[in-house]
Amino acid sequence: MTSSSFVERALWPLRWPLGVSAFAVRALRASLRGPPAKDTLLLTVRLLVRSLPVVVVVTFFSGAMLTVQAAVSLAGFGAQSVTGLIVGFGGVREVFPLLAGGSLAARTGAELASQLQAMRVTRQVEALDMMGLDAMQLLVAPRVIACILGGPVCVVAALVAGLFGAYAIGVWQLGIDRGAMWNSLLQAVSHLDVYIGLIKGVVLGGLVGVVACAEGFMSTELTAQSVGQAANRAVIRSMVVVCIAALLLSLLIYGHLVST
Amino acid sequence: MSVQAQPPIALLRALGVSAVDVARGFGRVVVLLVQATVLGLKEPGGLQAAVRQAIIITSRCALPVALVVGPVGAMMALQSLTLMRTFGVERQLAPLAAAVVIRELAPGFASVVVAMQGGAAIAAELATMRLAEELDALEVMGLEPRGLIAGPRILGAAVAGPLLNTLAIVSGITGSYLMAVVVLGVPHTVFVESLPEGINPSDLITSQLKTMVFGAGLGAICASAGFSSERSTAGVGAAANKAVVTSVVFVLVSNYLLNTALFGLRGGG
Repeated sequence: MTSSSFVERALWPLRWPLGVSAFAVRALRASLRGPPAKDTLLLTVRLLVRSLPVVVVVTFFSGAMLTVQAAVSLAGFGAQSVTGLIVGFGGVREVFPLLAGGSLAARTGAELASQLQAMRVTRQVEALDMMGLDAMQLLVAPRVIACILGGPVCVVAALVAGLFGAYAIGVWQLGIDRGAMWNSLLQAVSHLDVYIGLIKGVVLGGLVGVVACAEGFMSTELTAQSVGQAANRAVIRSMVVVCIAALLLSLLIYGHLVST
Repeated sequence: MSVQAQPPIALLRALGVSAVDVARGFGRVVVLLVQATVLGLKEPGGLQAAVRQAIIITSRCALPVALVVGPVGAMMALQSLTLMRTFGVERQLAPLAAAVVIRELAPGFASVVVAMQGGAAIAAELATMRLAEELDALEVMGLEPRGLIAGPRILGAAVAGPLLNTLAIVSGITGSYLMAVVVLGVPHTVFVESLPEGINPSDLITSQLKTMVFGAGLGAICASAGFSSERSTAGVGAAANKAVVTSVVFVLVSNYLLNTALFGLRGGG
């Protein structure tokens, strides 16, 4: 634990976003200089292999859970037809993309932060600097780009898995007719929602990448414990950032639909 | 694998091995949960240690819980209003928001945040103790790390769960109030007057019990990940990572199973 004065703690909510934004600018500039293509590809593949199973399991069960809950809550209003509609609407627009971002943060965010922090603890980053190589370009840029590429894929997988979870529970557990369940799930969903989901995936993925890399790269403490702490901070902070960003995106995109 | 197997057999074998691993891990967590709780309570001063852990976990997770569940509640209000305004049932927003936050959003997201913040910290802490051979030192002195180290943390997480859930409910409803009233112009009186219709004592109790179960479960998962970590710097990070992922999946899967068990859903709804 580093000792920090009260003033430092009070200013932290201002300083942290500024620090991360500055880091994001540096990471983007490094990405524009051209990160190593092979590393970027491998990191993207690794992200998908590691995060997709988590995304699929998490959203499948949250789709199932939402369906059970909606069926119970709506029992008075002809649950059969409305359950699918509510789950499809709320799930595709908000819950599944958000949980995809959360799973990405939990899996890949923690991994990126602990990788980078471990490289700093073992002085590999300083070694790169000594050789005149740019660590931002070689280490951070490929990771951020991998997250930006992987984010939308995770969101699509989340939508499919979540809808399938809702469908499976509706048909097997609640005994709703197959065709009717599928129709009601997709009734309130339009193509536009899927495109918006892709945009959300890009933004949320990029934010997870930037926050996780910043946590791995910016800490001043370099000990064995700091690796675990960096992973821990990366997960929770990128989760908070993902939630707030998802809200702002929804407000921006869907907000004007309400007032009409 | 020493013996070269045909592709289908190899795939089957790999699946079998990972299934056995999952089952073994599950068994280990259940045994740890029971042993650590019993031993932890028998330990002199075990109750105080558990209370201390509960305070630590609650204070570490309070801000993230509020920052996650608040926006989620706001998002729900936003999307519900897009549907409700078309049907002209705006008055139903507050009861719906309260019911959804209390039943699902608050316990679910609060537990996910506890897993990410408190759980990862537990795993990293225990893995660091293992790396520094502190756990071995305890055993040499004839002390039981399960009761002494894991027990208070599991009990603490089980107590912190409901406390944080209360905070999550408040911040979720506040989030949907801010979105509905301040941003989207639902009248303040309409929202406040209709709000109590959505608050149901049995829902509140179920929600609190759920988070207690999630807290104990994820505490045991994270402690188990810390105890079985590899003894290296990378092992500490890996243990924290594994703990977070496993406990997030645990929270969502058991949430579904608990819902099904509680409502006893059968065909026909």
